[in-house]
Amino acid sequence: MELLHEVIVSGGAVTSITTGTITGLSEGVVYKFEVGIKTASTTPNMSCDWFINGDSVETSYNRAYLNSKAGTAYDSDKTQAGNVYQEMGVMTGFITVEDSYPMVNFLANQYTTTTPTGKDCGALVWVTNTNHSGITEFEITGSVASQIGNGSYLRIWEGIQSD
Amino acid sequence: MAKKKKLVTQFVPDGVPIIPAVNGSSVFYRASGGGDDESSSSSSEGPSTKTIADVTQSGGATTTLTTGTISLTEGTPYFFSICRYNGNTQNSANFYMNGDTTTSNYSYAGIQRNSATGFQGFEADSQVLIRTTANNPFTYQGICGLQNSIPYIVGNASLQDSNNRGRLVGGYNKSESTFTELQYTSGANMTLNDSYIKIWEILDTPVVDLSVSGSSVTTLSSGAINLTEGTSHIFALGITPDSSGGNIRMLINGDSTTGNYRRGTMRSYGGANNGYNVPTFTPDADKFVVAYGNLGLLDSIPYINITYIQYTTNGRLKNSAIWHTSESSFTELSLVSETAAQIASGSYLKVWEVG
Repeated sequence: MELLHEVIVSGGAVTSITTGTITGLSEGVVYKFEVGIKTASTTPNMSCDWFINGDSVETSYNRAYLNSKAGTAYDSDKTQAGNVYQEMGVMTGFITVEDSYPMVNFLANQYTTTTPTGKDCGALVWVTNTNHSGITEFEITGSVASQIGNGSYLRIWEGIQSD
Repeated sequence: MAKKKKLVTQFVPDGVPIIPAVNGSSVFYRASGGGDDESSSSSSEGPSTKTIADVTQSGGATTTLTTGTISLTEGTPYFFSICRYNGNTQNSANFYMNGDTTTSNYSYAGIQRNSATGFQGFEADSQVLIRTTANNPFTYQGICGLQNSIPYIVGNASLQDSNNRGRLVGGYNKSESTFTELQYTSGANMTLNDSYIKIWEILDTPVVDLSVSGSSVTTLSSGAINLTEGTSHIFALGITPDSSGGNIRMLINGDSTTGNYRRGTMRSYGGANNGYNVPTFTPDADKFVVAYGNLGLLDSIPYINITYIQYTTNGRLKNSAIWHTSESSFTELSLVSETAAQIASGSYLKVWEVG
């Protein structure tokens, strides 16, 4: 797999990380991505949103979300982006553009010290942006300013395919 | 298949900011290749792959899309990606292995998010099924293959429709002993152009490459490894238990202390959807487990993210997220039987560095 984009936070916490402008994600090609978030120590349980093409309008998104939080089989419908992180999290999955829709399906793995132990450690999330054709940017934004810490990263590879 | 593209034209070493941060000046951007020093981007190259199937519908709508004849090797994980464009109102796609349409030959488990029907835990003895609505695509990605001479498929399905659906889907065919075809069918001529099935085998040498042949073993261990903070790895495993079945744990750094792990689990079995134990696979005797996911180290805490199916009497499909709270490095990955020697011949564990 060829690394297409890599963003690493270094030198101090930020509010958002973004790929910047990307072009040429081809329709029907499978791209792999991985995001690691380490929140700054002053703000545990921060959530983060995942934005496609900088679009923060909730109604632009369809989303389905299952998590393992005790007693909760799935979250209620939310037409917004990610919102899956706790103190730290790793998300990995696939990005495709199908019928011009940006589609992201991924697994989210969260770490939290919230009791009971292990609460909120897993989530499955699907995001589709219905208001854009193609993908030109990915962005992760924290719910609290300047709390995405050093070492956080965002990577995109061209997918599992032959030369 | 689209050719690979360099999305940027400038290469800069690690840590050199070439774009401003959205908030502040601390985001660094590195893009691979595209510059004069191609050797500098070598670390960005991940596993190479071999295409096993690459079929895209053209020439008009169809009922069935198939890979045609393929030959998947026992014990090798294959990565797949499937897309279907739906040409009708709500319409299902059934997945078949080797052209077998007999419902009772399949076991299937799905976890579904559907605003209309809510959580759907488990469906027994059905084809692998994904329902979609009009004129919207779904994508389905994961692994497929042959384990214990039973073909399987498991992955994560993303649906674009008015109900915001998503699914974790897995299934296997109990009556086939080879994997010679993967296909899906829909209502009459309701699979549109550009729908596809793609399957790849990863060719590169894994950083962990373990397999069992001959007698069953108690432990399948990577031995000493050192996964570096910030690198990315994918893994796949297949477990064929011996005739006694039994629990098999997946351990980080050989640590079997339950209290040192944090885990969240969603599963399609028994209605429960969470658990906080050491990650444990529980296949029925002589059946199997297949799993894939990613693992690594973040903020000096090792983690594993697992999606798996267990071939059991009832069938199970799970996603587990695991963090090890008492380790600050990732130096060993292992599968361990709770009782002796229950990891049978044909079991494997592979890890690839993505790049």
